[in-house]
Amino acid sequence: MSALPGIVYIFRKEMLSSYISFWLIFSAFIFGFYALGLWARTQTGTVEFTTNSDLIVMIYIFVTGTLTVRPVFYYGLSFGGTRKHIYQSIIIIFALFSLVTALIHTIYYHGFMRLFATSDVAIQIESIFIMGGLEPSVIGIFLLQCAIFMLFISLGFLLSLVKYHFGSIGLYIAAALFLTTILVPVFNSYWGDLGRWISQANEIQLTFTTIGAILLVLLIPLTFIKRISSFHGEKSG
Amino acid sequence: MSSMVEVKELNYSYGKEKVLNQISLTLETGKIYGLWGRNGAGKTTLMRCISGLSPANEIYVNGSVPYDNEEISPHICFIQENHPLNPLWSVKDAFCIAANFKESWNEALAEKAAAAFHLKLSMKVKKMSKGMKTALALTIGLASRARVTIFDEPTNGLDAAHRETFYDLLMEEHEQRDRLFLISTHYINELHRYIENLLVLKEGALIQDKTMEQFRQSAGFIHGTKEELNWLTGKAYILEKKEMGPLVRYMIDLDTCEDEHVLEKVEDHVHLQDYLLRVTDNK
Repeated sequence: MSALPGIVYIFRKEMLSSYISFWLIFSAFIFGFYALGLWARTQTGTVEFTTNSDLIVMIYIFVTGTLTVRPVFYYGLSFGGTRKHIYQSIIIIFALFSLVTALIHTIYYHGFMRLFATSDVAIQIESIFIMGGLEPSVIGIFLLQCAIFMLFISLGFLLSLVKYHFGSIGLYIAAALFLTTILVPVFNSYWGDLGRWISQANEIQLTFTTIGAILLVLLIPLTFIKRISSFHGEKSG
Repeated sequence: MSSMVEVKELNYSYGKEKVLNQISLTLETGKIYGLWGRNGAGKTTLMRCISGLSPANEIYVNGSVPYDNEEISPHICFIQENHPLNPLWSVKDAFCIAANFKESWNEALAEKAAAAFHLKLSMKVKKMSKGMKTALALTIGLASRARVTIFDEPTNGLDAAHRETFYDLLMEEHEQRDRLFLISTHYINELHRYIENLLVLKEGALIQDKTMEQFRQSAGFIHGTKEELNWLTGKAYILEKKEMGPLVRYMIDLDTCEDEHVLEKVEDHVHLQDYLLRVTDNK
């Protein structure tokens, strides 16, 4: 018996209201500045406002990933789900969630840009996907967004899962390993190379590289998912 | 009757603390089992292991180890004390989620039990009292129609009327379905009417596994003056001695007593709770 519908139900109940709230707050924020810009024009003044909507969505989606672990494992296991089924369900849910979020964000982004283009209000929504001289198609950006959002929600999930299973010490070790790659000269040159590569790569290269990173992030929990428990510090034998 | 659950020399520990010690038992389908033990005896851990929530390779449910077993899990339902229920859920949500995890889920029974507990389907968990949450968890357990259904302290927080409702629904299921129920409790005087077998845990070890009829025959009282009962010394294991002036009352362990004279003198039987308290005393 698949746990997918049950896990989807748990996830939906947990996240739906915060998801709707996020988009409402996001819209209110943008429209608020737009309205401010319109008002400023009537006062012969100007309001200049620049934001990066991708980053806002990425932060939100990362937080969503961190918040997913507890409800799905706590309730899922208590209701009789197996760890394997719960994990498979989470991956499917994240893929759909990223797809829907990328779709909504694409509509928002292009909708707002069209709206602002028709007025003289100095509001600019930037996109990291269009920086670096890339001029990809809407579909290309959409697919890249899907992959990036999936990577961020998976990263949030992984870090939260590490904390859930290993406790804070697991997070400290993960943070120490990450800092080591930045601070130790042998490793930190790789980050610079990666940055340069990203700035020169096209959207297809970026999308496939992100998919590779997602697979890596999603493979790590497989090493300990079988031992995840609702109850910590116990062993059989 | 066929055995549904088999536990073979189960040891279990939380870190360095051993909580279950060499537990072996067999539970048959179609029966209601009670599980009694003092606080910290290992009841909840044993139930978690049987339900597959905690890892234990020494347990077999229908021939398979239940831990993380996708074949077995849909047929086991473990209702924990303070069962996890999201405050955002309504009664209906909890039913929908349970229905997705339990293969034999029966919606009609869920609605019937919810009505018996006066739970409205639209009611949110965050608006519920402790008793109502317990009633919802019990409803899920009953309506799961799982072949192995385990309740941990099911009547904690329930008022007398709802406790009666639970036992009525439980007996109805027991009569109509071939299910195995395992119920832990501290209130054995209430549960003993409904169970057929009782397992007693003491400090992680299974010290008793008997039918209720065997428990009724397990201990008895002998009354008399101290002088009259001097002859008892060495002939029977005395579980409890109570002095009331010149009179004395001995609680005798009849399981270990073969002396005909002692057995003839036993006047009345002991309340189950008193007997269980004495056999789990640390003397």
